[in-house]
Amino acid sequence: MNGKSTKTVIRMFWAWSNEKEERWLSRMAREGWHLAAPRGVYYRFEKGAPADVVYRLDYQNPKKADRNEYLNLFRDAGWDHTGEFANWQYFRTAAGDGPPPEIHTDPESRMAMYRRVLALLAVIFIAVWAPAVTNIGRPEPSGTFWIIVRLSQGLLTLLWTYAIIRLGLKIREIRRGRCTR
Amino acid sequence: MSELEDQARKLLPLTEATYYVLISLVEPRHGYGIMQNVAVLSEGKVRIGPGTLYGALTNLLKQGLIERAGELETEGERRKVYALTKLGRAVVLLECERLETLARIGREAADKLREEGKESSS
Repeated sequence: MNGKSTKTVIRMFWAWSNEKEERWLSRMAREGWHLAAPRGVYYRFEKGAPADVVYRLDYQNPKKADRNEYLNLFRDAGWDHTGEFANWQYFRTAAGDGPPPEIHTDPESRMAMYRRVLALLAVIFIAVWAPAVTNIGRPEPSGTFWIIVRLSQGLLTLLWTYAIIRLGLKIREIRRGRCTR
Repeated sequence: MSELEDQARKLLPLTEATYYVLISLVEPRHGYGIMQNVAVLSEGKVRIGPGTLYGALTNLLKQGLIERAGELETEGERRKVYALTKLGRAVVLLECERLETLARIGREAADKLREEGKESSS
């Protein structure tokens, strides 16, 4: 075989457990598997020398004109951009002897990050329910198709409610200073 | 009181990171220059991470406290330069006055506590 050996691992992390995801990526790097491309639940790794690295995730969608500026800031501060997925930006840097380097250095900007995630969830939530709300008062359509639609709406509502509560709690923990890295 | 000052007062108090960014922009700088300057000003005690800085710059641009002031090319890299606006200057001045007042009042209280400490320990 020529070229680098790669592997793809499937793992799922909640939006509020990015710290867990970061620690997992660091463990993979210590075994010589370096993140090459995050694609949602699919993580593609490339084999290399084992390394002690720190991963950090940012949730940001810089406008096209701003994108270089955004990535430059991280590069200047010593972070490599290793990929992005759905506005989640993955950064990597060498772990030093001292405390791990951080991309967010105050609680305000960490809270702002989770609020951006929350804002997107809220928009999707409204998009899912807006069609149902506008149909209030009209006869409920029947048939297998509509049963499936209603069921998926119900499931999504449960999942979204859970996610919104967890994100809200996360933001509260940061505000109360209980959630420091 | 001028309208500008009124507008500026509404934006106080600043977070520590915002304060450091704004006082760094007394001279126009690019993002990396701000990070370096903050480390120098605080004698290495305060570090502003790139995620925090990007958020702060975006907010400050939106609030009109800073503006883009061209680009600087160093080592083949073009970096955007930021500068304080009139409103930004007013905010820095007011915040420094506010902090000076707080520090002066606090100093009197701290001196008193120190005096009491000396008396009770002797």
